[in-house]
Amino acid sequence: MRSLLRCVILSVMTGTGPALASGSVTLLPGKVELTGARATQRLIVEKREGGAFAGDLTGRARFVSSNPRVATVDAGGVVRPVADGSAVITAVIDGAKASAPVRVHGTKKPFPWSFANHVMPLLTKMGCNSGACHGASAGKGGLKLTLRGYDPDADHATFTRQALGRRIVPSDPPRSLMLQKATGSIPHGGGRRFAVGSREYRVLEQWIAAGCPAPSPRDTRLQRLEVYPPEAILKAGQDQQVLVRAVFADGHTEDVTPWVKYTSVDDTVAAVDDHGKVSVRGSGEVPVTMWYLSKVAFARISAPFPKPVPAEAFARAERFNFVDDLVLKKLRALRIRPAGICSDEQFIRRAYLDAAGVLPTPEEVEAFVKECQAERNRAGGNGGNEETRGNGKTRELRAAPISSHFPISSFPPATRARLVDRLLERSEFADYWAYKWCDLLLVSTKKLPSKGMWSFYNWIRDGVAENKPWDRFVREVVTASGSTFRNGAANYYVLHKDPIELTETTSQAFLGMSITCARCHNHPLEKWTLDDYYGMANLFGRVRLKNGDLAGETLVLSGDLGDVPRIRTGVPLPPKPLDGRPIPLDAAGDRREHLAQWLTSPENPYFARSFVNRVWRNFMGRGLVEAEDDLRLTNPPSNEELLAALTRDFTSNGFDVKRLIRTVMTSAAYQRSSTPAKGSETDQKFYSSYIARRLPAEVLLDAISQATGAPTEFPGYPRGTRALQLPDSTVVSYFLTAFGRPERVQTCSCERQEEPNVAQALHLSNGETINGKLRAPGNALERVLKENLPDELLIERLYLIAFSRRPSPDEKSRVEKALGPLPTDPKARREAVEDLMSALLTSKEFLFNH
Amino acid sequence: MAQYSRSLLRVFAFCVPLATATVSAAVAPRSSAAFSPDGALLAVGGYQEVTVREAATGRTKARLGGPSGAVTAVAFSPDGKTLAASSGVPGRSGEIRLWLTETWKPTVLAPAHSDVVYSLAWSPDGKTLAAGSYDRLVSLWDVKSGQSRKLKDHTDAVYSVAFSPDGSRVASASGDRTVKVWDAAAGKRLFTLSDSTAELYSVAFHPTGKQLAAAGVDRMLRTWSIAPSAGALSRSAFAHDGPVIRVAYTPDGQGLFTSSEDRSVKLWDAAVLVEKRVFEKQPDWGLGLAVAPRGDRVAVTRYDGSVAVYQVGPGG
Repeated sequence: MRSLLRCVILSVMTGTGPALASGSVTLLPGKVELTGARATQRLIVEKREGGAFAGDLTGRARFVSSNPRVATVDAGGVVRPVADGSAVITAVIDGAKASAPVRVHGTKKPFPWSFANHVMPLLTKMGCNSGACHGASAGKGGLKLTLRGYDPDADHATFTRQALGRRIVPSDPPRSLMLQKATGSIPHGGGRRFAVGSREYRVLEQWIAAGCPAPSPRDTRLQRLEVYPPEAILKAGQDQQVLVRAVFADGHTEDVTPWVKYTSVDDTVAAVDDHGKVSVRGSGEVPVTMWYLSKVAFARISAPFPKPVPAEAFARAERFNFVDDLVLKKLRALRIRPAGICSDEQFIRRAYLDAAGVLPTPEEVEAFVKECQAERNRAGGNGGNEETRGNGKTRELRAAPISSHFPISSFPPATRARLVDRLLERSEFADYWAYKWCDLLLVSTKKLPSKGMWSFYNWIRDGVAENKPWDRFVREVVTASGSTFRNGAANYYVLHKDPIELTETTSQAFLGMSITCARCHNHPLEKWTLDDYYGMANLFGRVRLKNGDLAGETLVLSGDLGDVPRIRTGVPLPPKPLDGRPIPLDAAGDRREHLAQWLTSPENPYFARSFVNRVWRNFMGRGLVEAEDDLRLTNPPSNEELLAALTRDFTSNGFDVKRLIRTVMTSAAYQRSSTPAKGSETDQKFYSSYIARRLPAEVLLDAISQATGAPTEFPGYPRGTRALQLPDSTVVSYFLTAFGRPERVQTCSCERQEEPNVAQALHLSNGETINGKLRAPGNALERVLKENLPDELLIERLYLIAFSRRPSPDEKSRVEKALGPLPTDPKARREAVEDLMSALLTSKEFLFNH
Repeated sequence: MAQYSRSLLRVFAFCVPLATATVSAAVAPRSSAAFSPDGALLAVGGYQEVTVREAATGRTKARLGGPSGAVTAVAFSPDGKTLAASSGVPGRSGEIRLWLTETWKPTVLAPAHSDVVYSLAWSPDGKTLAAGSYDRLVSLWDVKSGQSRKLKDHTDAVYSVAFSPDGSRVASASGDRTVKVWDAAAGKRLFTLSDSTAELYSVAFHPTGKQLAAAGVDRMLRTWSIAPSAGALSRSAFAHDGPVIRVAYTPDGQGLFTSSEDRSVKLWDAAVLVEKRVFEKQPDWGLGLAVAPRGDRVAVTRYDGSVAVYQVGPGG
């Protein structure tokens, strides 16, 4: 204790920390290249711990250059060139040293500032061409620039020529309006963007003085961005500067740190400022994304939870397949203790709802639990009213509902896997997933005639039931031709008639990406350009629709003529699927074939991935990428390795959907309890516990109908039709609308509302849906009452119907206290049962999947 | 470094009132042109100077210094006795200078715009000068007294102004995509023509005063028929592959010249908006366009500083 105090006093006095071992610090970047007399490179000193980057020590380091006649370094670690040659920069900190070699060349040659590579990114960083300022579609104050500089040629003309070149004075650069306004020397609506004499000022001034050279095809192009450090393991309260180095095609590199646009995906974990300084605020993991000249890179900032978790918690955690290895790897790195496995009752209810949207019947529950117990007995497990935690210790459950008759101290994956297999073959499974793909493909009579809608619905459902591989399913949609009545998939082209619509819908539905922004300018968050967008649109340029012979029938064909012109130039581009291979404008045949081939290829980095993400989200409650259809470079997955592994597994097994579902459902990650382990309560991202979520509208309505045995009447549909069997989103249903059913007008997954609202709460308590079904004659309550069960068994049965489990002793006594002994008078008894059932059906346990 | 020392010298040159040939003739744009009413002279606006040449021979008669920046417009008064030129310092001020053509003695009107003046137009009686500025205002100057009135309605820079042949109205074309027609005497806006889909750079009255032409960034050439208090679009034609910079009617009203950023100059049948003649490919943008008073020549002055005068036969 005393030596610790001495250490602290010492460090306060000398301002240094405890001595660092050499090898535990490193300079980033590890090698410096300065091209030309104007280049600079900032350095950071990074702590290393166990091979990972673990903290920014630059503030405490002293920098020295071995040869100041070649390169100098200042107190902040910025290296500047003096003359051609080599030198070594060393950082000294608390006795440890780290070095980086520096090579300087080209100082005698002029290094002209390039409009495209220097002026444009600078203006973008300063916000000049942002959507709020001159990048707005009407510009500002008469100056109209392209948004974030997506068209350097146009912007160059605007600066140098438009309005008689008022923005530039070539003979006297400081007098140029461009500089006068930006420095606030003349009143400027945008205020002062940079100071006179700043680096930005000097670049612009020197560019003007050089005669405002225009962008040229000979300009070297940016190839990629390097980020330092690419990953770091930090703690809340720590700051970390990141550096970005641009690598150009001609081989030279530039430190572009001050001009990168930085964003953090989650400010509550880590925030980043305009200078690239990351401040860690909480625990978790977050990518900090960087955008420069339409290229994107990111640094992964990890801030493990503060309390260490013993290694055996992970070593002994359940692992049922490769999914678990990767989930647990991430949890371990972040020190998030996984929850234990859920009980058998919890599993059967969860699996039924997530995979098929129905509740298990009491008989099914009892049978399953018996089967699980039998497997357990065979494996020699012990009894007990316990749930095991991942570390092998057990815990008496109080909060989580658990049946006293069905102990779960060890887990029967085989029985659960068999349950999954049975579920996959049920017709309700086909209904549920057909419904999901109908949401995606917008099946509804809003835009389709009734016969066309049915044709599309049946085509989809048949595909699900026969487990059509996903690549074939999508290929058939994209290349669909012929009669919309005979080929259901052809209705896709009736729903989306315009190539622009088709481009955006196809990207969103099958690639999980929104590329709408690129319709008018380069995408601000992704790498997609206007050219990519219009190349893709032109793949749909020859789709023709004709009226069929029957009323409402449409024929979809691929024509020989037609192209989609690119905006601003009016010239159509060779059809090209995003970043795929183009085909010539005059290529014969159906262009959609080329699209389908690219789209469904196992090499397509987006297609399988986005599908896997959707399926994953259905079961896990949160996509590896959130939102489910927001895959973009600047929104990376929370567990890249896992998503990549699942995707590989999917594509190398023939895009087999049921197999993918089975992989997810039989993993331990899916089977974790929704009660988090102590200390892990705040994790909602890394799957340490099952994320409880409200049942979707249709599933909830069906569950209520099933539990009460009183089906919902849907106008125009036979009695007994479940909500999940409805092919059409226009079927009137107050309940479904209130609970967020998508209208099937937009492809976005956001169309399904998941947010709670007051209307829902009121409707459940006071509305006709539950109350009407409870009172309906001939419903399940009536049938149960006819069995004349004693009170205790009657209550148990109601719990089994609603919750798929028996009540705990505590719950039983509370019900008895609340209701007293149930009346014997049939009418009163019925009412009491209705009351109890109402309480069960409006409870969170019923409304949620958990 | 070399460029800097040059600019330093220039600063000095600016402070000392020399007739400067600041930037070499090949570099500075020639942004405006005008023939004198008798057709004998051609005034060309350059950078910080106006050169006046004999139209027939091209010989320089006078170099007029003083303008503070690019000379955006030059215009002779209807009696030929005064030459007006507009200029300014971007973001700071606009100015109009006048010279007597007999002596080339300069007079300056009080600066009244807060940004560059882009266009000038004389009233037919020579008493009023209309000006349009980047500061969104149109001003009407009483040349004798030097008093001016401001017409405020445009929501973006005013790039071009024109007087109707009877002097009763002024038209202005703006970056706000509209042409506005004003009552010159009362100083009030009569009506607005909003058919253009992008910024307008130039407007001109037909010699009869019954028609207006305007064009700009959306590359279309449009004509409107004009009544005392209203105008209606009469024709439009896709004119160029790039923004249209200037439009100018021939004195007989049968032809309409356009010059464009696509480096072409065209002559149109003004009545039906059909191309009559496409001039040779221009080396650069035709910024200044002037039609000789007898309609026999057209002068084009360009961004690269070159000047060309083309013969125009009867009927193009």
